Amino acid sequence: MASDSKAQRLRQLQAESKSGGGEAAIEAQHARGKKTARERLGMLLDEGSFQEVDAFVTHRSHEFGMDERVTLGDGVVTGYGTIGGRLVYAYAQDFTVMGGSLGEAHAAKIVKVYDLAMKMGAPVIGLNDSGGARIQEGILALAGYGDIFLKNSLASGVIPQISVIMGPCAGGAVYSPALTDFTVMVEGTSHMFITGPKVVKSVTHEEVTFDELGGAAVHASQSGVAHFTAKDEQAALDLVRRLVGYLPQNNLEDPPLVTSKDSPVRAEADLDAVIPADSNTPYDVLKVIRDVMDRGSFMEIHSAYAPNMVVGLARLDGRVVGVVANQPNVKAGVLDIDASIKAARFVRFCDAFNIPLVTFVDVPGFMPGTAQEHGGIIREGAKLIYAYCEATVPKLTVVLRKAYGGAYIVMSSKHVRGDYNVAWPSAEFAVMGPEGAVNVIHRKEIEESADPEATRARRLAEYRERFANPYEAASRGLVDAVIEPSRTRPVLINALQMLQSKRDSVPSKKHGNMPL
Amino acid sequence: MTTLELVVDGQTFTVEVGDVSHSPVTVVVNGVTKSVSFRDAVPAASAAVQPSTAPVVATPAPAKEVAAAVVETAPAGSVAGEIIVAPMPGKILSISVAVGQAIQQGDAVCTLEAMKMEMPISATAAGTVKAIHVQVGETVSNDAPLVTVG
Repeated sequence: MASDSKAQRLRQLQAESKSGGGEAAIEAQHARGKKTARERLGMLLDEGSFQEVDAFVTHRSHEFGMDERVTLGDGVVTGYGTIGGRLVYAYAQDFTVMGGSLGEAHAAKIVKVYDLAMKMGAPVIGLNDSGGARIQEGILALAGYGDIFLKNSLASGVIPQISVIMGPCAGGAVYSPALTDFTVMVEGTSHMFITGPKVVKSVTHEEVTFDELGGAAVHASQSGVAHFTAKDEQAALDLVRRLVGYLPQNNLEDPPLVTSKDSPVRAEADLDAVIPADSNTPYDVLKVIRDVMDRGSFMEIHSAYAPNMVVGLARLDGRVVGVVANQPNVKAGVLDIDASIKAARFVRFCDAFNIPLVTFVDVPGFMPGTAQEHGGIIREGAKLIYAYCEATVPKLTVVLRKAYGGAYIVMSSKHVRGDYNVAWPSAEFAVMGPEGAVNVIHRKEIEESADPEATRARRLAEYRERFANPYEAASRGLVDAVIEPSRTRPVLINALQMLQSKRDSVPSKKHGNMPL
Repeated sequence: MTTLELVVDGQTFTVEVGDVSHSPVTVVVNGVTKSVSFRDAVPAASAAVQPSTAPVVATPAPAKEVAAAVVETAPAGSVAGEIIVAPMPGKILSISVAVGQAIQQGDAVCTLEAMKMEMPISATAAGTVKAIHVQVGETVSNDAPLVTVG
């Protein structure tokens, strides 16, 4: 009898905890097109795998009538489960409980999940849907953010961290996702900003909507804060499940190896014709990537941000690789500030998590102009050099066409420790484009000649013959091989296999002084 | 700031124009702050509100012309249609549309040469070409208006 009533009490508390902010609040959440925290965890994790931690935790605040507003779980559902059978930790903020606001206990639950994840070496996925700091708890709410930032920072490069924004995420709250490896935003229902439209109006007199200020589209294309956007919550969580499939559990493990259905020796005749005859004509580097990688395996990251640079995860004969490529179709594939930052962060992510890099090069140089120079292209471009130099994972490089100037050196050249660098016959290695080079080298001769245009044309043809090809570079050993484009896939798979036992290191130090 | 009252299609816009010696210029239209770049070199202060090189507009009302030329990101209603802008600084090699021509989204409207690449610039919206703001051979800056489609 006694044990019955005890069991009953437990069940009652469990039911109370599960009900979150109550039926009315749950209905309101659904009316906004949003799922509850528990529904989301159900969609994210393998069916029935979620195990909750701290379901009965409550806040300890007595100020402003808070002792009347106690909810079991304190507005965040935390625990662990599996994705594709692999352990992950997750937390989901519950907007139905005081707007998902973050207080001392709420933060402590997230911190606990991080501590577990760090001990076990497993990814953390945070589902954010919170109005911000719980003002009634004052400094303790702020302290909670601080504690989470510390966990995010210490976990960086040790376990993969993914943030999904599924509602408001404002003020200090934005910095936790920003510290994690990937941020996914749901279109229409998610917003991220330091200060909302009202404060913006009072300070800068700008009138701006929530979406214009910090919606998914803006962060995916302008700020680069969002790596991915998804049309709805289901799509966002499906995307996270797919992403996790490319990632190792932690920095001491390799990413999961799968058996590829695609032939490792598949030659792709299309690739022999992908480079246009005229080197001034653009083409889509995504086609090259898709043809070389295992069919359907390429997952582009930051697709709308700095699209003149393409980055993403893919598989080569089942092995995960990080792809970096200049995109001639957008802004001539030029290296500018945004492209440099985008690629630098991705290269460092891959290096931290033992993901080999495959770089496809067709780069006309760094972007000239006051906007870029004053914006700090020197500092920002240096980040990409630093990232490539520092990376010790296997580095494969394919020069498709232009490899001009300093930008060529940056893009995983031999000099930044490229392990196996190949070039297509269409490759052009040069300090600058042929026209620019001829005008400098032969300026005097052209000016003084009886027929300047004929002289220029003759010198141009000479220069092209001498340098606008891969053979000068090959004669110096700056590329290891010149290959037929159709054979790129088998060549890369073979090289990746060869590099499995690669050991390289950086000098022992506390950490470098990356040009941030 | 210089304050102007512009009447477009019977609607009055209060326009405050900031320092025009540098592009972009801050322009406040009915209380909404916008950043505006000039498509050519920065004109003198007087030219900012009365551009001497008006774009080719199909059926221009004078006030509308000013709004279209100066305020790229003006509120809906004062600019007729979507302006296709240059993705980067470069030179116009060719223009493949004419004013009045119907085009689909994705159709090439002109070719821009930049960084030794000839880039087709495609329409960001379907509609009729309302105005062409550039000429073949012209050098354009980043975000310069190329074609207005309405």
